[in-house]
Amino acid sequence: MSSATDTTAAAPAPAVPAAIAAQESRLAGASEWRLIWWRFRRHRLAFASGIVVLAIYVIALLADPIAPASTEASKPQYTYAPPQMLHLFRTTDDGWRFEPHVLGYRVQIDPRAMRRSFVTDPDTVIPVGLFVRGDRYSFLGLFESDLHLFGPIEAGQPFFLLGADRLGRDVLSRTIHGARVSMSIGLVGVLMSLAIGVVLGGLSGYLGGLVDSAIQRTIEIIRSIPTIPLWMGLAAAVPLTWHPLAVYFAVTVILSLIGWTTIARIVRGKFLSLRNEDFVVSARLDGASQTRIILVHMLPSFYSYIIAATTLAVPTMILSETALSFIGLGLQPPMVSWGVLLKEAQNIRSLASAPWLFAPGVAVMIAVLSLSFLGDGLRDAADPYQK
Amino acid sequence: MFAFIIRRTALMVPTMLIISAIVFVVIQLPPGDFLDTLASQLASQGEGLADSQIALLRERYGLDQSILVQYLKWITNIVTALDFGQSFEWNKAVLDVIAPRFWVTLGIALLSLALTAVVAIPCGIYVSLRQYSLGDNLATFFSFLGLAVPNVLMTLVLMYASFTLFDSNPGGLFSAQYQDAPWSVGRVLDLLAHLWIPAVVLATAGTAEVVRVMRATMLDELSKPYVDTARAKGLTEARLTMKYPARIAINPIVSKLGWMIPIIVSSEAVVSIVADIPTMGPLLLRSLLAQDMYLAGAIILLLAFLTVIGTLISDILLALLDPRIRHAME
Amino acid sequence: MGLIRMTPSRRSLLLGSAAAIALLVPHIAAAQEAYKEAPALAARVAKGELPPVAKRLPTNPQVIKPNKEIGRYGGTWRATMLGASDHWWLIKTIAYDGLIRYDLDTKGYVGNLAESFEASPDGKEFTFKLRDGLKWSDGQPFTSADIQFWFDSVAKNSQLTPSLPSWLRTASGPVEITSPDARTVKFVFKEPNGLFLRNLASNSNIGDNPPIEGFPKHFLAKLHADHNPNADAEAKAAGFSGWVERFTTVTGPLSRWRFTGLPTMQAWVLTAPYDDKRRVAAERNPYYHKVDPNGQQLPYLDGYDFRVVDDAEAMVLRATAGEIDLQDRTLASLRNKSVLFDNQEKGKYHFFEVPQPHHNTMVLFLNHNHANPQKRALIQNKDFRIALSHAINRKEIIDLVYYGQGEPWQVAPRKGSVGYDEKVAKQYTEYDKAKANKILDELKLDKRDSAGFRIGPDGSRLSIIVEAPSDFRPDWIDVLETVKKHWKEVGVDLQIRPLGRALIRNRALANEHEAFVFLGNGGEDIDLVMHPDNFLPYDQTGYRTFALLWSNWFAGKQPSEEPPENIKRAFELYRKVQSSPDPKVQGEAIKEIVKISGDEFFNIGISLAPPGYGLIANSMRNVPDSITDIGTIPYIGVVKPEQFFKAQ
Repeated sequence: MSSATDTTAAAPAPAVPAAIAAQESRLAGASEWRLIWWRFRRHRLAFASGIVVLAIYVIALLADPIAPASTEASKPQYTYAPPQMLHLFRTTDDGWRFEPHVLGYRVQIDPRAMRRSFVTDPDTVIPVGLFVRGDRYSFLGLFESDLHLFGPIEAGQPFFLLGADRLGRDVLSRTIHGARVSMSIGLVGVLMSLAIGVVLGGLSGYLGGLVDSAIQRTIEIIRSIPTIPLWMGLAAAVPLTWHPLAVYFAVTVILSLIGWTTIARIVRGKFLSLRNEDFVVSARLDGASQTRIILVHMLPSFYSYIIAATTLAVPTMILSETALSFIGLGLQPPMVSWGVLLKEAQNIRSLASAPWLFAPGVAVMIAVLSLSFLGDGLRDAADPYQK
Repeated sequence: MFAFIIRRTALMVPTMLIISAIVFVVIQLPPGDFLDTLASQLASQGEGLADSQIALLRERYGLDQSILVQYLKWITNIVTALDFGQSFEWNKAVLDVIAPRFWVTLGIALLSLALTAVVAIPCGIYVSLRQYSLGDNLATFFSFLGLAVPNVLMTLVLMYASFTLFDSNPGGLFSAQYQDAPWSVGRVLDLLAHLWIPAVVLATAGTAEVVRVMRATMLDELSKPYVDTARAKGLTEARLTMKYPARIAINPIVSKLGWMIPIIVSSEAVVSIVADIPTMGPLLLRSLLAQDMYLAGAIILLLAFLTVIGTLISDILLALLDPRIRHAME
Repeated sequence: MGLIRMTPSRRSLLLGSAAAIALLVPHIAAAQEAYKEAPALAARVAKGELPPVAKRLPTNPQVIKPNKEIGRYGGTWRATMLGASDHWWLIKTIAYDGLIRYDLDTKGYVGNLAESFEASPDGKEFTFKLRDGLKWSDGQPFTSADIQFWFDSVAKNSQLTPSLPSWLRTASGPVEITSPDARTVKFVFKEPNGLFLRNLASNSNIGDNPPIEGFPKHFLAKLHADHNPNADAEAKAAGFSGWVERFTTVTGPLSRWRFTGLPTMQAWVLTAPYDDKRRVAAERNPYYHKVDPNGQQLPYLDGYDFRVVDDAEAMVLRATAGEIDLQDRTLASLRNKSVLFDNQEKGKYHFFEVPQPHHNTMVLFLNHNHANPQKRALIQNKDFRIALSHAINRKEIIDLVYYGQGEPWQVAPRKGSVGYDEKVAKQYTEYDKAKANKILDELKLDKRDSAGFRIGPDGSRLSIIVEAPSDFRPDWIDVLETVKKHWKEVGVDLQIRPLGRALIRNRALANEHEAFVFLGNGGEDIDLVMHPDNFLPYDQTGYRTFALLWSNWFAGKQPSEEPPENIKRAFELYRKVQSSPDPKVQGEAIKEIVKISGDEFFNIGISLAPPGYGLIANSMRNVPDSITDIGTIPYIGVVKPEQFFKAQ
């Protein structure tokens, strides 16, 4: 990237002649967002996490074609099948050649223990390829297809890279599909909380007095009520005839109406301590409007806090979905989300004999970790005093 | 300062009244009442209660009255006689049901709060001083790992591990031999052996957030000019950090303390169900599911009260710690 | 035995089990000389705290033949219970000690507290002769006055009992009870009551409400205003709103498990109530009226100790740690089987079989009185239901969810039942997508939307919303997900709505539902004759209420709707079952009810329920290898827990 295009692309920044390319002027002339971007790129862990987060969202969006199977495709003979190893090369009599494949299973039913036991069968080779035909799906309601990014070349063959669940469904595919619900709902909930929190917190901290008191009491009251009963009550008030996803979405929106309080408290606290800082006082003496003081002078001085709080809130939403699913609230099967999948896995039986069912838990961990590191990096990058 | 405390305390009364009204409405929101739940349980086993019998019970419990009348009765009894009503399901005064569990809950909450503080605050200071070092990244990674693993999952894994590795069954509050024994050193140790799992699980979940907030505020403070001034004047790095930035960075943590109680109890409900610990959490969940409304209402109200008190304390502490906030409030 | 042998030609006949009497007679003389008792009781006798064992036992104690071997005293029965409302574990295990009980050997009814009993040939009068010298667990005599007290002061008191349970009334009114002498109790009905003895020995009596034999007059009279003028004042002084509340605190539907101190006739006396203390425990009843053939007073076990846990996973950990002696409820799920199987050695236990009397793993109940007229017409169309049934691949469900156990089965009694009919059991069970599609096309449901689903009569996608309990049987959700897949292939959109059981029931009773799933009960006669609710729409409990308006019509409630002729005929037959004292007449009527239900094909079954299992400690003895889970009778109580014992 050349600095010339960089600076002209940054619209609100004062235009700097492209000719002046010295490092000093480059820094001085770049927009704030540009500076943030430069600093962010230096933070390797955050940068990598950002890519992971982006990847998760892309996978979530393209879940249908990326996952090798649909969420419902069950193969009765493969309940609790262990994960298959993906082999890249195949050895035959005339040496080895590149042919990605997995091995089939030999299955025995043990009716006394009520389970199937699996042994890998080296003689059953299941070739695996890219862009193969499989279960039909309707992509976001736009078009129909049966093309999948990868999977067994011959449709219907057992293909369980992360094992199968109690109904012989592919855990990998279900985890990929679960990302769609979990990631989007976390995001929407947090964005709503953020909007309400910044506005009300800002008003409360800046105006003070009666407004502050009223908002603070409201926050206090809302925060004093444990979330579980609130969820239960509200979940019961949502009509049953709705689609389960709509039910969950509705409750998420309601939850975010409660979640804004954290952000509001942080924003208010900052406003209180900033209100009498020199730069705010001088702006006020300068005759700047209240809106301008809040938006231009005060808010930018604590973007970092808001970003830190927001990135931490997305994973919190994902995690509360898990906890709620566990006690039987929130989403219910047949909806597929990481919380629902984990609820199905959360028992001693899975721990003892089918640990691969916890793959969605690993997905939650990856998502939470990368979102957190990303938020961390953004926070550091947005810090104007950063050396 | 004194006037400030008085004013804040007086404000608690209307706050609690509004909360009580909201709580009462929310616990009444799900369709049906306790008797419907009871009747359905009975009916699913064959012979059920007759409709007339249910009507009689409904009248006896006062469930046939309007929600406003029910609320007024409830709140009047609480305010005048500290009578929180009967638990339908346990057939006992609500307070008698809650009391023994209250102390266990408080114990777990304090234990995990202490664990969080002991681990997270030093950790937060350290990572802010050594930004981007290996230590920062490791500490960040592990504190987030604690946050990232769902509580239920961690509880199950810890219980299963302690069962398979150490051959101990950590479920319940006491082992069989201490269940009804009088208090002794052995019984205390046995209690701790059962409480460590929920305390650790809850603490790991809270640690990440405290470390994050601590680190973020510390970094802001450390880059302020006064720190440079102090450094220029020759203050040792340790003294300099402890004297101002660390103190200021604790502010947001303090303001969180009051709010951590309902959060801990909400998450504790799930952990205690798995770990089989008799706290208020599972009782609350159970009473909500069974629509045992006076019990549920009393627990929620108690938690709300704790939170309001907690917020009050943290406001007072904040005011003491940061003169700017104090002046703004006065 | 019992009713089965009744011959109308004789005016009345002794119904007590010949087997029990045969056992009893030769031992009376020998036993009286040398009754033996548990060491702990002997010590109390020596200290003078208890009368000697011969004085505590009735003159003719009931002799119980052990299931396998003569036992020895000692040991505790450990098990676990889930949450605050799991009292059915107690009802089904340790509380089966009424006037009479069901006898597995003879498949009939035998005396228990009653030494003998007889029924009049017209089925209106039932007379019970109590054993001589029965005593409550506090040593006070148990006589006909106790049952009379229940009838006069509890059953007839409208504050305590607003209405008598249905099994104690017939068409024109409730039962009348008299006690001619201290050992005789007489039940007189206005019409024949064909199900009275069955009900007396079942959950109808020993269920949620305390059994009619569970009211010790000497203990309760002082709490009752009719017997103690100060009862109300005393109750108020003790903090109750009045005597009624205090009385029900001791004897209410759930409270008898929550209150210690109430004298009992059971083998063990409650010491730790089912409270929030997370443990239900009991110790032996020194006055228990049964002995083994060697004259040892029962029970063998010192007591029971049931831990209350909040999560089923905690049960698994306790089981594998060897802390459960005998349990199937909640713990022994399909899912847990393999973990429990692998830990048998570590936990020192093995399994017993629990055959299911249900005819079905799951029944899909469609609402025949659907509030929407178009949907109602569709559901009432038998061809539509046949198409839905053919569209289900039952073999796959059996393999997938039930590990290959069971066979495709409709709502129909099992083999061996009086109502068994192969045609009814097997009709429309073959998986035939083409046939289903053809029928649906012929029903003018041939238009499809872009996703391939059929368009219903109202112009929108043809969907069936099925309510499934989210808190009961997780396998049903699995079955439904599979059916959803199958129905999608014929263009029918099944939507699963997991809800709490209480909500499902409320919606069914308000006629707000479209379809729900529940147990297929009534597979075997003992269940079928009492509750044929899967086979005709009379149910009022909300769990099998698949045609509320018709059920209301039968019960004379509103809102109602007159059912078709065929169903009216089934109702008539059911009245015959209720009133006839003759098992043969009952059997014939049941047979015809099943046949009508087969013709009507109300609801869709999946597969024959495979046997469940239970867990038993290796040291626990005298437990049968197979205990049938008879739903209407305390099925573990029936195998006589008083003769269980623990090997050292």
